Amino acid sequence: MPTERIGHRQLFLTLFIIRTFIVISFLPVLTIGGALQDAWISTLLAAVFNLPFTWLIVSLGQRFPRETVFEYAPRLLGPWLGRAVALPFLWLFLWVAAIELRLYSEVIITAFLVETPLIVVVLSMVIVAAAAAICGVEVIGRLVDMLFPLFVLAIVLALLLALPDADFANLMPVLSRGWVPVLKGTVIPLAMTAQFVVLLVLLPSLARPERFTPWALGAILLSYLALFLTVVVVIATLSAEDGARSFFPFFRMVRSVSIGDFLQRVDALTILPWGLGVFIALSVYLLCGARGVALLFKLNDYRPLIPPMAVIWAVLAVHNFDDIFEFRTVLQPRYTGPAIIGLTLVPLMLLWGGWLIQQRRSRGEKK
Amino acid sequence: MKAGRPAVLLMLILLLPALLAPGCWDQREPQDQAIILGLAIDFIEETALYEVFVETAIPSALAGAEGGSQGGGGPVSQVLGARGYTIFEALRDLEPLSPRELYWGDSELVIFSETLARQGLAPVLDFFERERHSRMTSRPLVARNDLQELLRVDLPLEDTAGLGFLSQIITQELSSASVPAVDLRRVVMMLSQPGIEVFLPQIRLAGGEGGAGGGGAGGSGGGAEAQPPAQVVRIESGAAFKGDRLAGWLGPEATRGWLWITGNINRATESVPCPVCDGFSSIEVIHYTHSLEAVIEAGKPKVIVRLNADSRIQDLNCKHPFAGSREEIISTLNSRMAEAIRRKMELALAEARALQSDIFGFGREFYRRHPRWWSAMEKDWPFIFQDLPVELQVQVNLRRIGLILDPVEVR
Repeated sequence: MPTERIGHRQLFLTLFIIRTFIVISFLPVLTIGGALQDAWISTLLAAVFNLPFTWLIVSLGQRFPRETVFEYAPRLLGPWLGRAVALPFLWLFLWVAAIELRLYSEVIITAFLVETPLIVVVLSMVIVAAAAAICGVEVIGRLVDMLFPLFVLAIVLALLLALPDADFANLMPVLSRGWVPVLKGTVIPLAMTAQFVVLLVLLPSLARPERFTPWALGAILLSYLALFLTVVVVIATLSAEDGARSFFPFFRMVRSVSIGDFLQRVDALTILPWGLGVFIALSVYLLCGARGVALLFKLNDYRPLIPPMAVIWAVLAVHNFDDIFEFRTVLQPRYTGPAIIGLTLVPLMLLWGGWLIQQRRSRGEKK
Repeated sequence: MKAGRPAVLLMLILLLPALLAPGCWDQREPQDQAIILGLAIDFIEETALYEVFVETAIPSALAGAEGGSQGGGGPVSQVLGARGYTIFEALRDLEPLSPRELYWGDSELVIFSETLARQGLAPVLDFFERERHSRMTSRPLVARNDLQELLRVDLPLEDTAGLGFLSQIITQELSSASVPAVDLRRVVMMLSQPGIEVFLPQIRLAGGEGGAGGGGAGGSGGGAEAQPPAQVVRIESGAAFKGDRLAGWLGPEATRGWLWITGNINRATESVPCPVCDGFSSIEVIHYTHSLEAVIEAGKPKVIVRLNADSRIQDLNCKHPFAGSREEIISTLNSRMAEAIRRKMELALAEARALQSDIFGFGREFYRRHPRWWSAMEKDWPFIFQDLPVELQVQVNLRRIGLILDPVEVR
């Protein structure tokens, strides 16, 4: 099936976008864990911790340059355990997509379209994403190429416009509450690396997957750079205390910007990258999810699976959380930490274990 | 080509809904709304209700007034008031009074009554932070007069009172130095940060029946017979808070001192007695460098304020020439100017200490520079602030004296 090809740059930009929009939207380093003005240290730490995690995913994919995880998992671990290990990945795509979609819809409904039913916002996004996913990975790749400049421009502009109101003394004092809150702040951004599991499906679409490692690490570092800049500017404009109190600090910062008395209401600058990000992320997850199901159940084509899956997606995004409070608890480290370990690290470890055993066996046979 | 045609058709069909899309879901037509230009909030102690006054204007009427063609007609704005347990309820209760939907997304100004300020601003700020229409860029003022009276004031140069106040604040911030420049974002920030208290500008009706002072107020009152004396609105002096509650007022001089200490001044003029005769000279400061440093010396906290100002002479009302002892005169003027600034700073310190309100953010400076010391001393800060040594190092350099050297020699 993976005769469609995308370029290194396209996959790199995809990874960057799907990761950046979500960490910027609710700034987990600031709003969760209580690191306050030290959130930027959390960001740097998380970036360092994140590299091996990312490498673990990329280099597993590279062991099987022409296959997706759903193909080699049954071979490595046996038909049943293999499938059982692949299922969490499917669930992960579904779950992460539902959370991201809900987060986006919440901000739209809270701040812009108050009277619009949630399902309308959710569905409109799911429908476009499904259309992109049906068109296939090449189309998504080209879309990313096209949307990336807009995405970056909006974020850069938002940060620049906030600068005149920024007071960088808000970043002091440094580490006055010790390392514990700083470390807590790294949990959620680390957990979000689970998004990169899409690599295990998308790597075979590259012409030379074995050369992708620096690109993947670059995507994660670049995304942390964006997070770092955002956190610093948000703290400088809103103060750490007020930033941490907000649901969407980036959005709030942009709202409180006024340049002179003529340039105000630049809210669109947050909603634009956010919407683009959700769109790209959702179509990628849909594509990967549908491909996974098709491969696991040995179907010829994944495309017909996308519409029904999109419906499940939308329903989950709406019904998974009753209210914003429930939604917040999902984003707490004590909930997300174990969930991500269960859904990502454990299957990854099993797969690596399977690969190591296979290696040893084949070496033994040679002898 | 064969496959192309259905695709094009499909695209056209898909594009059709776009024709309907511009009529959007939550649409609000600007011409059907009454735009709130000034928002004033009061608190009624007996009933514990918030009272909200708004000055609304019809967009089309405003546009006409600006154009000047239909300007002379009736009033373009209306003041409405309503009460409620919360701000939002009070604002909702305004709607039955108004023939149009009220829109407060354009309100750039919010006036708090003294009673409300003494009661606490936090509930009001919560509304502003939570509501999606309101802006944290709104500028707060604390009123010493009745709010209705203030909003009904007729400013001949401006279309409405709200717009007039707003432009008055902005003018003050840019060209003179009489009020602290704040918006709601900064207010909330100061409330949530340790070691700094909120300091807001005061608004007061002077002239007519309004204020007590009003020295340079209604000068043109005697002219027309039928017209009531023109009212003047003063935006000067400041309201010092403790937490979210008003602690008391700082006078105009002390407010200037606050601006000097915190380095928030844009340009300021002081009158300094001439060293030679009994005349005065106005000296204006345009550029300056400023630093506020919190130091701990031998376990004792101390604040050092450094101000290095470049100044110029705006006018002299003495009659003797500069010549001869020019350098001497300049250096005397410099030190007198520095002394004048220092006196205002000291006045600000004294008045703030009397109100027990650390509006300078000295505490925050200690929190930032010496977080360990601060966490140990935070509880005692109110006492420490009372006799905290503040070193004021003011230096003034007279750089320019305008377009002429000596005053005219009257023969």
